[in-house]
Amino acid sequence: MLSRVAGPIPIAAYDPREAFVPKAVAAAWIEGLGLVMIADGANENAAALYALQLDGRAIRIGRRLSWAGIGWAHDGLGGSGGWALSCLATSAPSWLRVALPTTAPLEVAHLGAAARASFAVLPDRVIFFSSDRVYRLPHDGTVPEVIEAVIPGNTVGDGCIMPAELSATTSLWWLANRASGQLFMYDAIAKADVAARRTSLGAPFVAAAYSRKHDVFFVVRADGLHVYANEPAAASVSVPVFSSPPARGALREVSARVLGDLGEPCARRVVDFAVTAGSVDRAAVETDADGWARTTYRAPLAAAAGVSVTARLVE
Amino acid sequence: MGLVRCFEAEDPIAYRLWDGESAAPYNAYLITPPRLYAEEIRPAVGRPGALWGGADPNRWGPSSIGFFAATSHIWWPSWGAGRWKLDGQYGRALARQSGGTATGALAVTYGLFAVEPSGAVWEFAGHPILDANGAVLMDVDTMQVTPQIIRPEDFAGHAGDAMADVAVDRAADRVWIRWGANNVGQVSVYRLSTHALLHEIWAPNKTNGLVLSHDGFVYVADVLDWLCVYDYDGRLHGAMRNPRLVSQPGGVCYGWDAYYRRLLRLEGTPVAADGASTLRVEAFYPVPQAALLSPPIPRQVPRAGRRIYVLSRAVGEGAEPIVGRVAKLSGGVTAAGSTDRHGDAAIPVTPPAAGALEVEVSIP
Repeated sequence: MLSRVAGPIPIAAYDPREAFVPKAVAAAWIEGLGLVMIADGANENAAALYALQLDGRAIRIGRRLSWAGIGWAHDGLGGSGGWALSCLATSAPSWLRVALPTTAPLEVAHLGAAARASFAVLPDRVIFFSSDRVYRLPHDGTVPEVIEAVIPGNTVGDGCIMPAELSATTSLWWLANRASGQLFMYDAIAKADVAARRTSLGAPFVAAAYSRKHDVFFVVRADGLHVYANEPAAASVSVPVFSSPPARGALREVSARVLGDLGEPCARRVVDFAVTAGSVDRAAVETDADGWARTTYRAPLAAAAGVSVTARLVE
Repeated sequence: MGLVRCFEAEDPIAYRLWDGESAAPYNAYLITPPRLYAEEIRPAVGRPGALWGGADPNRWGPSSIGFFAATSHIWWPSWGAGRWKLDGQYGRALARQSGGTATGALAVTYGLFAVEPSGAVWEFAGHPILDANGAVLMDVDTMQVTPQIIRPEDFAGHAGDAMADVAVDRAADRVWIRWGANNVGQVSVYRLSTHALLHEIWAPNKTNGLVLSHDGFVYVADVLDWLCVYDYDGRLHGAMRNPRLVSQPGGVCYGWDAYYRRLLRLEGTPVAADGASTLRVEAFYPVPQAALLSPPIPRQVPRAGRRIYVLSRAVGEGAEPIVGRVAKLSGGVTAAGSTDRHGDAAIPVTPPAAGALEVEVSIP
C-alpha cells in the first residue's frame, strides 16, 4: 500500500452558490489547473467539469455536455500526453479532445458501443481497464473491443487508467481499481502488467489521478481528498539472514528486507541492526531499491551460542 | 487572473422623478406608493444595456462613461430609451437624454446591445420589424436605429437563425456571433465584409456579452460570471471569474473604457423601495490575483534528517496558476520557495527530529 501524506481534506465548491459532488468515474490531474473531475447529482451543475484544488475547493471550469468520463491521449511522439474527454454523443459515444478551460473541441473519435469512464488513446488504439482485463479497440470504434491483457489478482470493479511514464519508447500506465483500491502498472507496449510495481491505494475510492510532476496520487473518497506519495508504506521487516553460516571471528554479510503489505520493496528506509555478541560495521543501514538493508557482521572470537541479531525498522 | 475593482461611480444611473401630478396612462406600477420615479430601465433578459467609456473632455476630467438602455415609463408610448453620461474620473452625472420612441422601423425595442471600439452601438435579438434576427446599427445621438443591418442569411448555413450574442468591429472588419443554433458558449468569428468564417472561440457556458477592447482583445462573458480573454486571432490569453454573490434580477452588462483601459460593469440591481435607481457603474483591472492557497502537502513521507519537498499551490478564481510568488513555510521549520508556471511551490524541508512537525504556508 502506498503512503498517505495528506487528507482527508473536505471537498466543497469554491462558489457558495454551487453544490459539488464528484462523479464516480475517472479524474485527471492537469498541471497548472488541478484535479479535473465531473460533477454528479441532479442539480444544474450535474455533468459539468470542475477543477478540484488542493485545499478541497472545486472551481467550475467547463460547460455541461453529458461528460461520461475522462481519458488520456498519448500522441506517441514523446509528447507529455494531452488529454481528452469522453462524451456521450447523439449517434455514437465519442471522445472529444478539448482545450482547457474553455472545453473547445479539438478533435473527435469514437469509443465503440458504450461510453467509457476512463480510457487511454494510444497512437494505434484505445485501451480501457475493467475487472481484471485490459481491452482495446480501434480509434473509429468500427470493431468491438477485445481483451488485450488479463491482470491476475485483480478483483471485479471499474478501473481508472492514468499515465505513469510516457516517451517515444515507453508507454506505462497506472491501472486503479475503484472498488478495491488496487493499483497496477501496465506496459502498453509489452501488453502486460509489471508485476513488481503492484501496490494499492489502501481502500476503495471515487476517483483518482496521478501527477507525474510531483510523483503523488490524488484520491477522492466520500470523506474528501487524500494525497498518497508514490512510495509503499513499510509493513514488515524480514528476519535477518546471513550470506553464509556465521563462524567465530569471521565476517559475514547480514541483510534484512523491508516490504509493504503487498510485498512491495521499500527503498530508503533505515533498518537498525543489533547483536547480542560480536559487532556490525554499520548499525543503521538504508535499504536499497529492492528494499534490502545490508551490513557486515563480525562474530566474536570465542565460540558462543544463543547469539541473536535483530533488525528493526526505524522510520 | 482576477479582477480588482478600481472604480465605483459616485452617482447612480438616475431615473426621472414623477412630478406628482401627471396621470399615468401606462405602467402605473412605477408611481404606486411608495414609488416616486416615473421610469426604470427595461432590461432584456440577462443584460441591462450597453456600456462604454472613452475620451470626452468634460468639467471633471478628460473622459466619460456612457450607458444606453431601453426604458419603461408612465408616458406615451410607455417605452423608449435612455442615454446617461457620467464623467470617467469620479462617476458624476453629466447628462441625460431620452428618446427612442419613434414608431415603426426606427424604434428601439426589447433588444440587446453591443458596443464597437469606436463607440457605435448595435442592437440585436429584439427588433421585430427592421432586422428580424439580425443586428442593426443604432444612432445613439438620435436614439434611433439606422437602416444598416447585419443579416443572418448572409452567413452560410444560418438563414433564419437567431443571433444570441453579437460583437462588431467595422474598423477591423470582424463580427462575432453566437448563433442560436450554436453549441453553448460557441462564438463564430467572421470577416464582416465577406461573411467568411475565420475561427471559433469558446466560453465555458452560455455567453452573456462580448466586449471588445481598444487594443484587439475580446472579453467573452458567460452566465456563470466567467470572463475569457481572446485576441482577434482566436487565441485564449486567460480566464477569470467575477462572481456575484447574489443573483441580480437585471443581469450584468460589461463594457470597455478605452481611455483608462479598464473593464466596466453594471449590475441590474433592484430599485429602492421608492423606485430610485441603484445602478452603479464599476470598473475593474484584470490582474493576477491569488484566490486559493493549498495547505502544505509533503510529496514524500517526512523522515527525520531527510530532505523532502512540500507542495503548495496558488491559483486564481478561474483555477489559473499564480506564477512567481514567494511561498513561505513557518512553524516547525522555516523555508521558502516560489511558485512556478503551474502555480506550484515545492519547498525543501528537512525535519530535524522524529516526531510531529506543524508548518504553515503563506504567500506574503
